[in-house]
Amino acid sequence: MTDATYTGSGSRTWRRLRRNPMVTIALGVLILIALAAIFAPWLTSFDPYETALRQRLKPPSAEHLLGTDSQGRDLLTRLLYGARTTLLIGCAGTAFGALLGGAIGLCAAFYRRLDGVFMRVIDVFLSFPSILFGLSLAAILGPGLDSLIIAVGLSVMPGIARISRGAALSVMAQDYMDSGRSIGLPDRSLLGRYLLANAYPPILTYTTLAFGDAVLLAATLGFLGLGLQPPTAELGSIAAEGRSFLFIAPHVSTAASILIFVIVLSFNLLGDALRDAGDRRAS
Amino acid sequence: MKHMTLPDSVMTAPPLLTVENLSVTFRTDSGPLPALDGISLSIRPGETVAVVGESGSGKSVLSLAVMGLLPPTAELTASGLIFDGEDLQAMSKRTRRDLRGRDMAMIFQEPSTALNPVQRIGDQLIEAIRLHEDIPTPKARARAIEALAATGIPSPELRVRAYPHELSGGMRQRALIAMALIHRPRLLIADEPTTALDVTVQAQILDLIRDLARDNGTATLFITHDMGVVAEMADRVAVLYAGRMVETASASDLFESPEHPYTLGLLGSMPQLNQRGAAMLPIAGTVPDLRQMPPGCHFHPRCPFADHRCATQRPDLRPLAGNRRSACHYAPLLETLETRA
Repeated sequence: MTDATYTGSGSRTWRRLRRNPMVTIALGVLILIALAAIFAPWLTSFDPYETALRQRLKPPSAEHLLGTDSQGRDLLTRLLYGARTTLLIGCAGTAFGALLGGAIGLCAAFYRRLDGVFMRVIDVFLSFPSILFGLSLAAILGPGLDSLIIAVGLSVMPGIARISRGAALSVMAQDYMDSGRSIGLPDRSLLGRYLLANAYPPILTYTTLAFGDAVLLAATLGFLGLGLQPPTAELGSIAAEGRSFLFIAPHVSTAASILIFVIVLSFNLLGDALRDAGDRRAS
Repeated sequence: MKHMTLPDSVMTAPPLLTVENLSVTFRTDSGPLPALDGISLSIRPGETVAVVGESGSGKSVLSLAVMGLLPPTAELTASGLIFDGEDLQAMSKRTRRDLRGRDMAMIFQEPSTALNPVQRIGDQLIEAIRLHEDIPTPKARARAIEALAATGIPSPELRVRAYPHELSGGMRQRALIAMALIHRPRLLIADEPTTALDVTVQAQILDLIRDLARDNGTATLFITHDMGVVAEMADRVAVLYAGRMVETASASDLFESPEHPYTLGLLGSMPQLNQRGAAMLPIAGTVPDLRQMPPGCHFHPRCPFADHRCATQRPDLRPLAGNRRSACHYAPLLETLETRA
């Protein structure tokens, strides 16, 4: 490790990020969708739950910009409220998974005795495809917002734990860990201000990528009927509802799917850019 | 050569640190790796003891063992590990931690990596102060600036706000010394503190460590591979080879008449400025693999004096005249050479 390794790496990462137009687009799209979801009640005059059966499956028009769904509800309104739910599950799930996975990874690297046990458990988690894993969890935990967040969180957790352990191990090999111990620092200071403070960049990058997976998983669970029960608006379940009318009213499923696609793609672009910007080998 | 002799009170005081028969073995995937084997050593208050040896001789493991910083894969056995009359092996983790930084401190080899890169120098010092002393932060900050000033860092009131990467190597080492000595520890372990520094800075740092240690009455365990540094710093010297102590003597005796062929080799590897054209005599070969030690004397494959006895029989560290010990069958060497000739 030479002088240059740390020199302003944070600000340099930022400069690289800002130069990348993909980041601007992805971040802009995400912020736009997030704001629209948060302020949905003020953006639309329609009620997301009130049905109007005479208006059902109308194609896009001036009154209903994206048309209506099978219950005659304004589709744009449904999508805004749906994005709310899906993003909430995705974000809260990722946050939960990152906290848990990060803690497991750091502790495995710091307390080497725990490493074997922790990582074998993580290996078991990783040996299931994450969709299948999330599905079984959601089925076991039952319906409800809490259990969805837990299911999504536990699905993204193993990957984050792995990355955290790797990042933490390389920090553990640095002299300042011993040096901090040699002045008598307790474990909690070493774990926080020494280990986490130096190991977090790759963990953060990976977590951004995990956001996309989490949102996709949340939508998948909704699509398969394991998400929140109707009439709650959720992007996956809106897409699933529209599937029955795919031939007479393709706009319902299509609009919901495109929105999911755009959200996930934006998170992945952002994560990729973050990874490239943090990677010193990339010029 | 160090000309100042220690006062008699130091020479007769009970030892601050006693290490008796210390062995450290690392558990590795390819079997146990013995890093230290039966090391005995003591340091009296205010004394400077140098531990010398090549890379892989176990010098750094010794310093980590004393500090209690060995990784969990290391297995430590010792018939005695006594600091200031207390048994370090019997101590709780908590008590041991309280000793660190307050009663014993350490300076590391690589100043560039021994400071937390994401914390300001001042914050690290303040943290070190407040760990062992209950004083408010502004007071601790003043103390930190004072401590930096004592190590000769220019404009310390600005440096406390700097991150480690904003300082030069020499400055970082000064900051680390300030941090190690902030509570006036009774034992300072300096693990090759000048190896990573420019030659011009090396002498300054050595002077600094010596002066501060003397002012605080700190005993120093000085780990190095550089015989020049030993001559500069040490009262007594212990020479390690492949995890074993092969010779120990006062610094003046050791330089005058080394009693182990390995020490002789180390001295022969020193460049001599006052003897133009004098050839340096490097030691042939390399340190053996710790997993596959040669039988008998570990040094015999590289030793110019070795014979069949060295290849089969392991020499013990035995006392010689003048309060020194050597682990060579043929010590005192001079007599042996005369009889052989």
